[in-house]
Amino acid sequence: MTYTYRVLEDIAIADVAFEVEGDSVEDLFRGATEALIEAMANPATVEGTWERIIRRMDTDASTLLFDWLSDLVYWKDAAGVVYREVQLRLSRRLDEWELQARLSGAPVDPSTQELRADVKGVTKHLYGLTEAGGRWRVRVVLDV
Amino acid sequence: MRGESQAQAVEMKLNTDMNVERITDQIWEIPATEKPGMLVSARIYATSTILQSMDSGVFDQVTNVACLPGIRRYALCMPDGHWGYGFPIGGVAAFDVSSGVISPGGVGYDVNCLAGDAHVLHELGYWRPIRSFDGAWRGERVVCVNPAHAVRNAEIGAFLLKTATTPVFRVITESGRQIVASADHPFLTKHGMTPLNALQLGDEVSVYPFEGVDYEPPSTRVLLTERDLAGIYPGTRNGLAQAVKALRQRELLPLQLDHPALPFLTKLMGFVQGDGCLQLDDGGRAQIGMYGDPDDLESIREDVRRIGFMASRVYRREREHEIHTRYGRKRFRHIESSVHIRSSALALLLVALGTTKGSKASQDFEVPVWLHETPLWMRRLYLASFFGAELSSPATVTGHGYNFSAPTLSLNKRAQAVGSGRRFLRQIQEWLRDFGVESAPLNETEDSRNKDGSTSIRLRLQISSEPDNLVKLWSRIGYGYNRRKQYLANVAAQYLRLKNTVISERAASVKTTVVMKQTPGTTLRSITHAIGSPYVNTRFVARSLWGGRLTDVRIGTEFSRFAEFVTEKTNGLGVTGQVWDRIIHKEPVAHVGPVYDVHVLDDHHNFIADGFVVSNCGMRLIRTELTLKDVQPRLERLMTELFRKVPAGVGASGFVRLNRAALDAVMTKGARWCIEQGYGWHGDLGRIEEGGCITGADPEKVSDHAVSRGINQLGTLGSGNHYLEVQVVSDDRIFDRETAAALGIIGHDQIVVMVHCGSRGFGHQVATDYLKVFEKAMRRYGIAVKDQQLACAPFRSPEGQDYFAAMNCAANTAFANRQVITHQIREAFASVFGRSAEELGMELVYDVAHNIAKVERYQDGEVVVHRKGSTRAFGPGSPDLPEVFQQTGQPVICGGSMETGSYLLVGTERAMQETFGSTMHGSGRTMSRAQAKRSVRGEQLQHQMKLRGIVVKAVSMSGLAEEAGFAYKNISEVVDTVDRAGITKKVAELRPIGNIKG
Repeated sequence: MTYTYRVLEDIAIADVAFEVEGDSVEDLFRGATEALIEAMANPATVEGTWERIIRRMDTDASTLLFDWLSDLVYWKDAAGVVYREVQLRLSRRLDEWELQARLSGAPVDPSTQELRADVKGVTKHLYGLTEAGGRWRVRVVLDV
Repeated sequence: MRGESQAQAVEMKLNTDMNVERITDQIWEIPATEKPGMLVSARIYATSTILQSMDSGVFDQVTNVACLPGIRRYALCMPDGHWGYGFPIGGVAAFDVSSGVISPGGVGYDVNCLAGDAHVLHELGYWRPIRSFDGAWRGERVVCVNPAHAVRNAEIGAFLLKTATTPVFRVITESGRQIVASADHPFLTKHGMTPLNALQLGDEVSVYPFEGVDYEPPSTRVLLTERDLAGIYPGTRNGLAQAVKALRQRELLPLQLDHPALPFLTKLMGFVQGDGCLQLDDGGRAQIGMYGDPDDLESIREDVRRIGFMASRVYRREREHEIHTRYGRKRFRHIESSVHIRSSALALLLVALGTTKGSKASQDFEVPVWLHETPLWMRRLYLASFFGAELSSPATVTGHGYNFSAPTLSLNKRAQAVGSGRRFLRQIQEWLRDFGVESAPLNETEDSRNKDGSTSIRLRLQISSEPDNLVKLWSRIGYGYNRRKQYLANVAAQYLRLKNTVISERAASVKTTVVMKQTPGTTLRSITHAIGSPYVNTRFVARSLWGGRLTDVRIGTEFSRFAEFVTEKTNGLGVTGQVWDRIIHKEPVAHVGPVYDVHVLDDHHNFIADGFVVSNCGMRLIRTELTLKDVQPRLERLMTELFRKVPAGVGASGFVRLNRAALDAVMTKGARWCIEQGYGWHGDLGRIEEGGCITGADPEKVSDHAVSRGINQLGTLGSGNHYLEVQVVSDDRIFDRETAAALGIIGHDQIVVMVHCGSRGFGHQVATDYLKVFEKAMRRYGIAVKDQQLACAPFRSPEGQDYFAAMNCAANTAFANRQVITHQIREAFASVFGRSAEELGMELVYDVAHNIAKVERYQDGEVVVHRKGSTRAFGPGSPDLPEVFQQTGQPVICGGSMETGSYLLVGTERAMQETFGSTMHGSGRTMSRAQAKRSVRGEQLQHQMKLRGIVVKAVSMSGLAEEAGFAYKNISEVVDTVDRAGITKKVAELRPIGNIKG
């Protein structure tokens, strides 16, 4: 199972946009998560002293991903943290997608962490989850 | 012609296929016929050069806006326009208030532009050093006392930390309490709040004897999951699913040990185990009933509400009871008050946590197992609530008046369950020992015969009546959900402490007496005088000398009985649990380090610190203005100080910490709140758009989510294109000397400070929340939009009005944010230059918004003007401008890149006629962030700028690289466009010499 992501430079010059591709919806979630947390800080410079478990469900994977990424932005502000890693599992039960995730990070500390963009939110601009030829794709624009 | 301008058909190539017609050299129009659904034409203010550099998003988005219902005249875009979310950045559109819409996409997310060991008693019964609240008191509530009425819990409104500028004293009272406070710190006395430096020995101050226990953070272990509930739910699968859903919606599943609701659940559990009953039948129907005093039941209702559920109102009914005891049949009547909760979800949760379902007398139960691994303060909550229901009230021994009876806990169990009853009470005893409280071995008696012939056994746990033991019980554990008992416990604890002090003093005096008497010629009177205690008279000294007393010292007969003590020492304090305590010692102490205070949101502004009822300290303000010659030698130091004082970047949090209620005040009052708190001067308000406070803000329309994101960000810069910049105004860069002078700009290399920031995550979340609301609302109102980000609702609709009220909250918060930053800037300047801000003349020139929707009146009537990356630019004579700007027109502040500089302009009458009183806001980007980072490294850019005389401090070097000057349009060209178009007039150019970036 794999995913890749790349920064899209042409569609959001004032902000940050990326596109993720994955072999599965779960890979897509992992890739988008990694792209987002990397946009905020270098994870290798962040300790794992703070943890949070998140659980979300939705019948629509696209909405679930949007809300999940928004959760990461929310906790960055509400808890004052940046992320070291996120372990997540996405499963499907009947007609619902279920996401279970463990966030690991630390309170923001400019003296030890490589901080990047203060992401203000995930936008719906050009947002959409698509599948073609067995590959899943999503484009995300972050407001910084 | 398609993709080309009319005037320069051969040379111009535009990033659009739509027809763009030249109106003037600065105004271009896309006719309404160019896109299906356009209700009006779109107009772009730009030179031909700028127009060609505009990305395709500008043309696409401005024409999408032209399709929105109720739009008036034109959809506009300013010369700094570029692609945005829904609206282009630089976009302006006005909608009829009756038939038009309001759209978060037209407002944006970033609202506004321009910039120690005192122990506090927490509501959950633990003490924390006041400094520990720094950064950790969002949502925290502390015990607050209203002198004559009640003890209640109030949220902390602000946290303050400062260097002590007045002497610091240690105060000791008769009962042995100590506190270290600054001389100006008020204490509650019989004459009201009185500063410490006005208090004398012998004065009485109010103390709150309850101490609780130290705080310890709970673990994050998951306590309950859905699987745990499935094993115990008695109803159907569907019923279980509904209960689980209800708990998930309230974020109570999975439930971790550090969940903020768990302390309240624990309190409720303890009480239900005593004076409550929980039913959960096989059909999944639930009823939780709790019985007690009406005021206490209201507290329970409030706690139930806080965890997301609802309890009934307090019911009252007269009941007649009859029980058979070993003493005979007893009948009695009383008014029974109760509340009831019918939530299966809550009942299931409480059962899963260990609450007994059904009859407690006939079932086995123990203390909840998981509580064993929790901190002491959490176990205290369970015990206190259980004691509030079941433990006897403090009372003196009948006929004695000085000593107290042993508090007793009784538990009735049917014979078959008496074993578990004994285990339960032994577990309670074990927990009591953790608090240092001892009790006697359990006692059992046969109590009554039940209707079915079975016997009930009464188990009794008696707590030792030894005074020190009682003080620990009542001051560390106390009673929960029982104000009367807690009040008595407080006073009793104080009484016993004082008694102990008296006894200790008298005991010590005996030794002193014996020693002094060895000196020949020493009289009883001189010994008594030397001891100097109000509790040691000559008779006592005499008895100590000749009565053979060396042990068994007691209080004298002059010491009050408890009943008298209650009357005397709570006079004027109602049943709050406060007690008057006399100051017996006050000495100045050398204090190193800061002093702290918390502001609580209660009419009486007091809270409990080290047992004393204290109030808030006042605040002070500082401000400054200089020339380049003054600043250059200290520029590095100035920028370092500004970087230190104004937090920026990811996760930056300010020194002013707020909770929901205080943030509500910020949301409704904006910059006025800051002035009230002392973060600014009254004169500042007249120089802020709308006086720094937009009416119509309603915090009820703002989600908790948005509040959580923004609550500790007051006084901070974000990152991205937000900044704080120190600039210089040279004589040769002033274009309108008269107007400049009227605005306080005199040139001669004058130093000014510019701040660009908004309401940060808070404003963004407000917009995101309402985008979701509007997505659903649009279907109902039959509105279709060409871009999801243009989601909107009719302005007059409930959804539209709710958003408007929430947006105004965000706008006011952004005004407040820049006001606090202004305060910090003034302090930094004063610190570096050694003169006050007033002496340095640091007045506000102006503060203006550039992402906002406002209701304004033009020739079209009343409209909702959306300014998305564009600035209000009211002309001279506008009735909405204060007197100071009537001649000049409203100042407009436009920020360029950190390398090129910014501009000060003023609005014009032409803007009122053509662009709904609007103009540009900045220069706009031409290069992506990624490309900028590839072109230069942050450290390299910082060094290059330093060589050019611009000192830059940045939290993120990659963020700094993204903001390189070459990534932005030439601001001068953009400004010249609006100047030539006549919608704004240039006043002065401002050159950067120092910059702070997030």
